[in-house]
Amino acid sequence: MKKIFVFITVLAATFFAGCDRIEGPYLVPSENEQLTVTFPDLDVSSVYRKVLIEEFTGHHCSNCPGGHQKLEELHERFGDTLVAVGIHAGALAAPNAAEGYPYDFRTEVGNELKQEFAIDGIPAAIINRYPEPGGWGIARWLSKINAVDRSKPLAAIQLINEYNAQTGMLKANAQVTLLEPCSNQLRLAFYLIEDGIVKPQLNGTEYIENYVHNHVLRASLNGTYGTLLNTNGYLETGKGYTLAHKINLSGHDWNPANCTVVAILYDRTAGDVLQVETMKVM
Amino acid sequence: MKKLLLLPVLCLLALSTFAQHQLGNSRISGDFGFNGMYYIPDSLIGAEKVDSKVRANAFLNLLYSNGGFSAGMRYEFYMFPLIDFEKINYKGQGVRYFFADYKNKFIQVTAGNFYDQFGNGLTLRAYEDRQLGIDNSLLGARVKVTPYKGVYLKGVWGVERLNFDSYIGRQDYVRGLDAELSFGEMFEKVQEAGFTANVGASFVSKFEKADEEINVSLYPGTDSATTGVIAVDKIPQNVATWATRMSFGYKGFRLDGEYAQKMQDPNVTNDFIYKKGDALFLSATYSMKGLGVAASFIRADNMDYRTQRMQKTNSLLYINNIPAINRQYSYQLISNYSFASQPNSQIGVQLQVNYQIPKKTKLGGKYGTDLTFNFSRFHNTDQQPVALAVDYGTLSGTEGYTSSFFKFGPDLLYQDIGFEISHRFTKQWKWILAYNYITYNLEKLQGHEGMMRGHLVASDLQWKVTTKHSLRLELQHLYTKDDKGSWIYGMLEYAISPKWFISIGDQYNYGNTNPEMRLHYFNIAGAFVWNTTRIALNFGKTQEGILCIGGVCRAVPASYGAGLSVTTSF
Amino acid sequence: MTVVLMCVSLSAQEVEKDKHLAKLPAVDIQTLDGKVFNTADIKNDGKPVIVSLWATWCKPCIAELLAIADEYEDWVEETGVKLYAIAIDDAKTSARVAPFVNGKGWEYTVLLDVNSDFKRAMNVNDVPYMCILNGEGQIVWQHTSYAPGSEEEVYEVIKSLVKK
Repeated sequence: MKKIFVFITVLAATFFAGCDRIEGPYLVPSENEQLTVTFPDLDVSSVYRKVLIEEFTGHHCSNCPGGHQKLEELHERFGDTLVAVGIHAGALAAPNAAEGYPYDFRTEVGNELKQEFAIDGIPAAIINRYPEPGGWGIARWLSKINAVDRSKPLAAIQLINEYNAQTGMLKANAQVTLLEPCSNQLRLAFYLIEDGIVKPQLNGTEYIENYVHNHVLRASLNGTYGTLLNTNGYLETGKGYTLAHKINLSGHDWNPANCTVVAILYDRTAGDVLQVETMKVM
Repeated sequence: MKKLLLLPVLCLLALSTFAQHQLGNSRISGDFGFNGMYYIPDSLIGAEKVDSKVRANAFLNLLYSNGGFSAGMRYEFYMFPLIDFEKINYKGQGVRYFFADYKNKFIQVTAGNFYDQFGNGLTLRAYEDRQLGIDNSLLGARVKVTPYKGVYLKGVWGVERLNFDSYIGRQDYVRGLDAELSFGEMFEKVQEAGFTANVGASFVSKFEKADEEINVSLYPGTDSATTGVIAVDKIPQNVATWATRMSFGYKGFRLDGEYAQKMQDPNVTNDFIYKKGDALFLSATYSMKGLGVAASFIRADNMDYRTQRMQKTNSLLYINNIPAINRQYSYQLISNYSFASQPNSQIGVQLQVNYQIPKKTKLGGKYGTDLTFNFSRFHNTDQQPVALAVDYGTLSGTEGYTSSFFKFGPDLLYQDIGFEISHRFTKQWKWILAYNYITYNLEKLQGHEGMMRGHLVASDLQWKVTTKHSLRLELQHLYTKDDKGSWIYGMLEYAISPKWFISIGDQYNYGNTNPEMRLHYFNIAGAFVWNTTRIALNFGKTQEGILCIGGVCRAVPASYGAGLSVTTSF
Repeated sequence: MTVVLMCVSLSAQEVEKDKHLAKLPAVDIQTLDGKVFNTADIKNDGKPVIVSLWATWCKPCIAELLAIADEYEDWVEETGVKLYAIAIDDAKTSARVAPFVNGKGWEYTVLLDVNSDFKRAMNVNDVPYMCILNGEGQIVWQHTSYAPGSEEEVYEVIKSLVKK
């Protein structure tokens, strides 16, 4: 009997010593851990709600320049309260060297967003990520932007870019402060867009060789859907939550001087963008 | 260290001398193996020029035994090993296996290197396969106790062998406990009733010091340059697995089952996830004279269990072994399409039926006809990434994924439908004919693109010319449009029993889509066997491919040359 | 290195005197129904025993056992010999040994050496391996490989043992 007791004790000891239990979170994004910038105090009175319009387009799409033109008009009307991201995705965005469109504007992020919003025909746009399968046609853009309640800001995003021109490394730092309570999980996505890309575009039946493409989506710094803030996505009002991500701009045909970081704070569950902010790379 | 490793040799030497003179009951035995090759470069088949043209593997085993005491060692000389061993870094020389063992009715104690297995090997399997260059022996101690009839307890502690590395400075070790109860042996009534019933349980734990954080690239495949870090204190140093098993038999029926679970074990093979791993192995067999039916099921998910978390070389530092339950073939043409066990993601079934048409019947003939049917199918496991993994764009440093236990994953890994008929016409003539339809996932199992779907027909005809002389003709045809295309193979073997063998064979890739790669791989071999000594010579070409033994595979580079192999035991 | 070589030459000499006395090592293996079986218990009441090491994946092994199966009834009748077929199949395939053996209709005593302990203790490199024990359990003949017809030699050895 004694032997059995000794055996069981040894057994139990091995069991407990033999296994480590680790509690999450296991991984910490390094950039977030070593935040090298300090954000200025937030002046709540200067914060206003901005609206995000994600335009799906393509260089081989005859009606798309109409969308581009509409966006210009809207920009004149709303100024910096409207942030546009041009997403080249789908068959009409695919390179077609034979017909004079050799350039590939498409991105992994753009392809996934096209799927996420079930875009079938272009031009089409999604406003503030409000779920609308297929997106809105050009004629509805203005009314849908006006439908967004901009009476008070819901959140503030402070954005600081650190860019090293030698290495091409860009680090985007953001501090998010929730101004109105929100019970859903919140994500922050950093996208990179570029203006002034001169490439051919089809307009009606006309081939325009030196067409200027603006606010073209180039990449995401933290995946298509961004990152949950505060690890679990739940934020308290009035508290600053920081997030930083990196991207290497070298090795691409991107012009850093024309690039802008777009930070999108959104609620994927309800389909709503709480705030969007931009900052030039340099 | 060298001196230390020679110690067992000296011990053994002293012991043997002592034993020879003092004790009548002692015995020394051993075996020796040499496998050498002269390499000729051949750019067409991809046989590269090697820096040392003459290469060889050699080893010597010595074993001393006297009553309940035994001791042994192996000296290996792999300084200029065959190129496929060089590729897996099995290179060096010295004694990496030695042991002393004492055994009586109640206890067995082993010190030194040992091989062992708990249950079906889901938690622990230390074994060697010399052809594959696998030696997972543990250096340490083992105790086996039989306190009561039918009760078997085992405890092991050891450091796992890593090729020819000295064990110095190792910061990892394995410990384990295993218990098995055999009710048939414990209670005579159970046995008298014709039942056998065993239950068992095992617990294994590995320790590996964690002193370096793990860096992870987030959003891999996108342009993001964001990285993440798993801090040292978030890396488990002790990783445990446990398993329970049972087997039950009554007359010709037998049921076996084992379930194992592995605790948090972020490692390089599972992308550093913190999900628990699990495995289930079930096997049911039924047999009576002339009929055998065997069905088995396996599921393994995140069960790659090794002593070092950064080790990913195919054959190294495994603590456990997830069995590949599919039928193993020795057909030349499908050797490259053998299923390799996927410890991190596989779910599959296997069914085999053997039937013998009775002797002295119309269909069975004078000697009976053997029929074998086989079916196996393996998929990967169902894996749905957790939200955080979707966020990070990588599984690393998260719970990884969730998995529905019995659900087959989206990718077919391997399928085999086979039929074999074996018939002896007369005392002189015997014929085996086999057909297999194989589906093999090249992308998941070899990293090439696509699937290989192929029909294999194999024939093996034997003619015993006289009692001493015999001829054997093997013909195989693999018909496929995938991978390297169709192949044909022929081999004629002439044997003069029991001492001489000569064979000549050719393998021809006639269906390769690239006409320049429609190559012949000829081979001439001869062997001389004298009691337990075998000397074999061969000359020819080997295609680049995969060598699999029992579901464990490793890559074999293309080669061309002449080989000599000698094995003997004494 | 020199020590090792010394060791080889020495043991080779020593072995000669001992060889005819060698018996099977005592190793725990398993029966088909999972019971522990010690190889020292391989016996046949003073009659000869054939021990074969084989595996379900080894073609020549099966060919050899099939060839003997055709004659086995006659052999038993004439000499009282008993054949132990010890499968070195590991966990992957060991469950299939029993159906395989029954499917082939073999009359042999089949055992399982799942951990290759017996194979190692016998210093066997490759299968097929076969040895013959005389009535006292001493190893009188051993052989590796199989060539059709070599079963005749096995039978000759057994007959000579019975005559003695």
